[in-house]
Amino acid sequence: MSRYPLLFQTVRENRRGFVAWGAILAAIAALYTAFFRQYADNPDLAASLTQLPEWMQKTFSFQDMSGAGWLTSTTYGLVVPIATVIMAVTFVGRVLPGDEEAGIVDLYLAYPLSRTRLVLERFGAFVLLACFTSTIVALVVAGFNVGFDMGVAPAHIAGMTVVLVLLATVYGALTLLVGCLTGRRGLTSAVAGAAGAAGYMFDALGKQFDEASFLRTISPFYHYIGPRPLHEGLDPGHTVVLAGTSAVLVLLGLWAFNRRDIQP
Amino acid sequence: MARDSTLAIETRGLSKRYRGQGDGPPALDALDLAVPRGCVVGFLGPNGAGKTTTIRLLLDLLRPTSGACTVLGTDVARAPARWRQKLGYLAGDFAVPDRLPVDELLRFLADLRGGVDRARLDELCERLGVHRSKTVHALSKGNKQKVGLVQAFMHEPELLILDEPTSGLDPLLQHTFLDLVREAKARGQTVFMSSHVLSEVQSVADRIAIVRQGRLVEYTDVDKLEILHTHKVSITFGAPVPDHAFAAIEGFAVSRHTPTSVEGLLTGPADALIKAAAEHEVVQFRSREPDLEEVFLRHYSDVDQEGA
Repeated sequence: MSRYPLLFQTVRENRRGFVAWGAILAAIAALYTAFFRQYADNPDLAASLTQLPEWMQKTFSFQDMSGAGWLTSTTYGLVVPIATVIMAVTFVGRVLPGDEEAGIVDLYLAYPLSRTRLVLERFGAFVLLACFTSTIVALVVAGFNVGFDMGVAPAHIAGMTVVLVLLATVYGALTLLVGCLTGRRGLTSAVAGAAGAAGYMFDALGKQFDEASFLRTISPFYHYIGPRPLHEGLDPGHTVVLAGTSAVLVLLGLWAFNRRDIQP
Repeated sequence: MARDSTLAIETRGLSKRYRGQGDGPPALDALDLAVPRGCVVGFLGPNGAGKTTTIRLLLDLLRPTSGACTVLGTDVARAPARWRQKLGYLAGDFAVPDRLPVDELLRFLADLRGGVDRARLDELCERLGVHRSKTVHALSKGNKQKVGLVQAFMHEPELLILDEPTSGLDPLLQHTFLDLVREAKARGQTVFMSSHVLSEVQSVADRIAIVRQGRLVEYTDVDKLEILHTHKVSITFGAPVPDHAFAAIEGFAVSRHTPTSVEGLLTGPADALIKAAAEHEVVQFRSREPDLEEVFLRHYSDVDQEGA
């Protein structure tokens, strides 16, 4: 008998989802990282990237083509965080508002489980999922780092993994908050998904235009990759911003969920 | 407020108006109900009368618009999570995570309860004929309902709150279910069960509460319930009978009259009606239990008019 039965049950119930997300993220991390060799061995390709319009170079940070630079523009800068945010919105949306709409939350709350515990154990399962997929990505990248001689410090890959988990928890926590406010899965996915797209856009626009640089500061993507963790290592300030944002969103969600009627 | 420890459920002016419900009558309107411990109460009413709303308020799943409820001596609004250890609940639309086998689900739910007697769980599954190796989503509605009953009864809670517990069960299992309720009562457990079929609860209930349009219209011992002695009678005659032939029979309210047939609700002794019918050529005489809607129209029409 476990002390956190709902957390472990959530993991057990979603074991296939864990495996699938792990496989998806491993595949896209491998695919994008593997291009590094082609690029590094092909000076023409490297040169062609510098010929791209300036806004594209800025958006994707193609100026720096070291191993860390490549990973920052591609693997960790684009596909992995986007897939991870989609995973956060999908997973948390299903286990909180999704289960509420299905009537399953009704059942659990007739058991000796407080509303706070229910939300936290569900969210805890998601944090485990994010740790799992982010670690898989780190292992794939670490493998290429050695194989392709990319020259990234292993500690920096670890730091990148920490902020990737925290990016996931920010969007997971946002999904939790909207789910706790509304109890509607469709609405929750729409709002959290839009916030994910906006976060990415704000960071990209902030990079383009100096006048819009304030947009970056409110984008979780900026706090995730802006301080260049693969080059500089983990930045404590930005890390705290991501962790603190997650905590505040979860607390607001708990506050809301403890005050309203359970659907349907 | 003084709390009566002999009561399993006590509601005081309990009202619920859903958000977005507008100016219509509230889903539940000032419900005052006291259920003694160890009592089996049948909670009846047509669909949409407020039964599920009441039950979800008792479980703190809904928050009342006004009023309060005390369950097992604890104010529901301030109840800690462990208080629910004393409750067993079966929702009207019982939903569980459905991608796992029944056995795994029951083990998890027992875990969530904080441990359940294994032998008791096995006994319940056997008596209700639960398919333990099947995946939940492969079960029919009735088979899923059995799982719902097992999880509600498995920890022998002080109070069982069951919303339409027999829906989807075949007659044999309805019988088993009623046995479970009787055994629970014998053990001193309290059972509060909703239904929209009177006959389903009358054999086990000590008391019957009837709600209609969010209001309690009747709450009485089951043997004092007048509607239990009401029957729907229809008589077909071989030849036309005069219009007035059944107009003034005590306890018989005519609802339909054609030249060769009469239909109505009979409350109390049948003697006068049978003697009146016997003066004509009776081809067919049928008497059956009326459904609640029909009874309501007859017995609680004042509520109808007020509510309209």
